[in-house]
Amino acid sequence: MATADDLKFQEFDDAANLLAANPDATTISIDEPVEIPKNQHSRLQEPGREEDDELLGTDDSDKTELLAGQKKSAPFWTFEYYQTFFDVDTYQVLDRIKGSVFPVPGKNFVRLYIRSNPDLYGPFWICATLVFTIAVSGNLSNFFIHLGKPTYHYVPEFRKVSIAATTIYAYAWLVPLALWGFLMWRNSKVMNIVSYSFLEIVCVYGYSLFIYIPTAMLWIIPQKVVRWVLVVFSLCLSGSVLVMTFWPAVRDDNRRIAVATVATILLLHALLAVGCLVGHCHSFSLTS
Amino acid sequence: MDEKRWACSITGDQCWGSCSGTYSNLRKPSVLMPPSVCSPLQLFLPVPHSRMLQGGSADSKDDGGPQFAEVFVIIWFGAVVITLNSKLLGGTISFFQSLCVLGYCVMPLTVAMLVCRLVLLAGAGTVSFIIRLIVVGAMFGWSTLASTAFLADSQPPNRKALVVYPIFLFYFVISWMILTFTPQ
Repeated sequence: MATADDLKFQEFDDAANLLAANPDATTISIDEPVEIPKNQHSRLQEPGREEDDELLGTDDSDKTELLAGQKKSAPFWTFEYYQTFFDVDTYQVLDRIKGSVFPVPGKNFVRLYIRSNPDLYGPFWICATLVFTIAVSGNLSNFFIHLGKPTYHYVPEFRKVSIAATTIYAYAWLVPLALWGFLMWRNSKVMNIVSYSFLEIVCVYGYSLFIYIPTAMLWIIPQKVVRWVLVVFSLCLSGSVLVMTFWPAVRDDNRRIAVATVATILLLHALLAVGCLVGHCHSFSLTS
Repeated sequence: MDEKRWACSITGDQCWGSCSGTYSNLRKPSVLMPPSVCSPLQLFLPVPHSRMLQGGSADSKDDGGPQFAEVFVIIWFGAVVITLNSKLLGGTISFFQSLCVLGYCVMPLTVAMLVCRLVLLAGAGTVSFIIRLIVVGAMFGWSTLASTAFLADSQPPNRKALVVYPIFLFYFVISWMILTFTPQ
């Protein structure tokens, strides 16, 4: 029942009472930077942020980490602990591969596909397949280039396999480690950076390498232009998966650091792609 | 039947059993292939395989051909990794049984290797390449099917493909090494 007091014009000093009633509300003041608390259920958010919550899942990120901790409760020296990293079915792996090859704009790969069930099956076997695909298609394209020359002696090149394996596995493990460490560090400085778990980052990187497998198979085509077009195309696809995963996470940081982070991610990815192409074309054989 | 005869008859059955895809004797709980019997036999199977693949002289490291150690390591390491993968995905097969099966199923590819070497003695032209391709392809299919028949059954049904694919990759790489091998 409306009283006369309720119909009175509200004074500004009621804002303090309002804030006391709803402590999670966002306050905006002109002098200070916007501070948005981690728990973002408040209705006073800008409308754009809700979409990012969907992207980041910040409302359940705390729960997710708790769940992840509960799931992997076996001690790390038991076999069951490592079985939790392989708790995927065939259709899940195929879905994740599909998600990495056809990135949906605006959808975060981690939230959409991984959903706190990161697996090591995909990253490990995609890297293994990539190593052997590069080696085999490298041998094949070498063979076709020199086809017909009587002095050419075909040799399978095992050094190439070793170098490719070292490079690709190092990339798939060390770069996520560095990125994870970086995100954790930024998380301690700026409250609302979402830090993915290490395995989720490994997962994203592993699945993003899948597009290079058909690309490596197509590198048999001897035209240089075709090969570089393929490199650029696959780089765009897998790079976009990485960007859409990590941009929402670092966007709230200092602008320059955020841009630098994403740029470094893309640069390393491009270096790997170019390195794969160079390794593919380079022949270790001394006879030609 | 004394222990030795029992073990030898079992391994003979195992060998043929793995290659023909029938594993009834492997499933019997009383026939737990003891690692001491399985490992030496399985150890020696990749050895002739690797020896035959060894290319050129041992001191010419730059020819890029497979050295004995490389092939040996690939086969053993690959078998261990596939076994670990199958167990991590929830397979009920024992570690040594799986290694056993994978080792025995390299046998068709060893036969393919022999045939390839013989064909290469006759010549290294296009015809010989086609013959080698057909032989290696057939043996590759046989190896994969034989080991899949056993290893996939020990998996939950929604993960069979996840277990089969690494086996396929493993035998594909070995087949590739065989097919591309040309002695100097």
